[in-house]
Amino acid sequence: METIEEQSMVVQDTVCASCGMRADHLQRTPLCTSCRTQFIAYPIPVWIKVFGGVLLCILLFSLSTLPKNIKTGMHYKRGEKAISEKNYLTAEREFQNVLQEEPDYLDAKCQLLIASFHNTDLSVFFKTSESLSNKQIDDEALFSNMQQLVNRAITYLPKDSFASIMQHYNMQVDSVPEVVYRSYLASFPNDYFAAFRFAGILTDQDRYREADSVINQLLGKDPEYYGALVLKASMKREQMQIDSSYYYIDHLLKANQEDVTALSSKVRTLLKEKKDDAALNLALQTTAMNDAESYSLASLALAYHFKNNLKDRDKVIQKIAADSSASGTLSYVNDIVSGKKKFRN
Amino acid sequence: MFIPGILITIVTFPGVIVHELAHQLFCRLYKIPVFKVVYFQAENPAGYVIHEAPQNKMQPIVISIGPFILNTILGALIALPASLPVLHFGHTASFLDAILIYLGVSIAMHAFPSTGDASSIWKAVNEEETPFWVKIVAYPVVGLIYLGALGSFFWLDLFYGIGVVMGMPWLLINLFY
Repeated sequence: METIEEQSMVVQDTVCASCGMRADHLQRTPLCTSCRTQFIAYPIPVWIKVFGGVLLCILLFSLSTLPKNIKTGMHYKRGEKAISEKNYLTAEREFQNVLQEEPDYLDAKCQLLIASFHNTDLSVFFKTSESLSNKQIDDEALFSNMQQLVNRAITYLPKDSFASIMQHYNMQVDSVPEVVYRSYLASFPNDYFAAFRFAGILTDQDRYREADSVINQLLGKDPEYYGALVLKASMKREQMQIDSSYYYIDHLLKANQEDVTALSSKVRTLLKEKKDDAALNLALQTTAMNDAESYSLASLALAYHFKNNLKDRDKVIQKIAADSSASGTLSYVNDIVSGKKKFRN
Repeated sequence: MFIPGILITIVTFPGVIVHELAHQLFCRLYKIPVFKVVYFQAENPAGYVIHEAPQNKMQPIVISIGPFILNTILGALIALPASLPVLHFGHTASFLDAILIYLGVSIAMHAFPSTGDASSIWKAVNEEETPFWVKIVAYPVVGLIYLGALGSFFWLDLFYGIGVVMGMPWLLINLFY
């Protein structure tokens, strides 16, 4: 860009530098009104107008895609933040939102894998893991972390040898007899899933010392085995070892601040301590996070029960009953509500 | 491999046109007579606008740095439908994506004011009647323009264009989330 200041100096002050008529505007360049107006509106060639029009159309198209793209990016950022704060439930939802718009977004898939593992959302975890197979992941630390999670998640499933035993019992782990469990675990002591399920059966039968022994062995091999930690918190609560129960709950929440199961377990421990207001408050917060989890709904029903809010309690129980996979949870709540099982003194 | 600058300028001609058009539009905005506009030519300078020196001392600064703002925003926005999906979300680039990214980089890389722009500001602010505060604003701008011109020997303008296209969408997300 240049100016014509120098050139204008040589032009006689009263004569228009362009047409030679009398100059009306004695500014930097003496010009008559007509010439000045013409030069201000210096014509833009048609091809430049066409070029500008094409750019404008592209710009409008770009602006129309802006909200969607920015929204997707924002979901990703929120997911990243949630992961850094160990709010894995939020993270999983955010990355699912991202992948809904961008199904091939590799980084989002990796993050979803991590979040779903910490939420023990195994169906999402294995589906995501499968979609990541044969994909090139350059970040070695991320890849190694994901590999570790896959190895750990496999221990949350029965080994083939135990699955074949389960087949004899219609795949119902609770139907496998104790003697079969003991015999199997003697042969396959590293089947964490079987050990955990066996401890669960013992807990249901109030055989806490035996269950504790099985769980301690399991935690000796994998101190972060999720199901074992949940069971520990529950067993300690039932044995009125309240501090120990909170210890395991806090351990779980340290790994995932939005662990709905751990929070619901805390609700039950609070109820055990007869801190019913705090329990109901927490139960409502927990179900607000995830109202599809039967364990947290059951905890809310119990909190309503002990607060004598029978109307809301029954509504929640109806909701649990609608979930065919929650029969165990439902019968536990029904047993307490009917007085068949005593939850607290 | 040595790539002559003029070759890059020819390939990225849309940016030069937008740059010169921006100068012209800012002149029109301030009602400054324009005497000649070369939107693009395959020589140095690749484009220029000859206009009257404005009486208001801030106007040469705005006219000179106007294309910097316009080219940067336009480059980022035009590339956006492709830059986020392709460069961040892992899409395979389609032909349209490639065109948008090319246009975005081309426009953004020609955002930098030229040394001609700097000398216009320099002349305007060195006049006696220029207010002191305008000089305070103008001198660093001139310095930055010359630094940018120096940087363009090392492809700073190209890196800037790529940076705008890749980074601006992410910056927007970080601002809003």
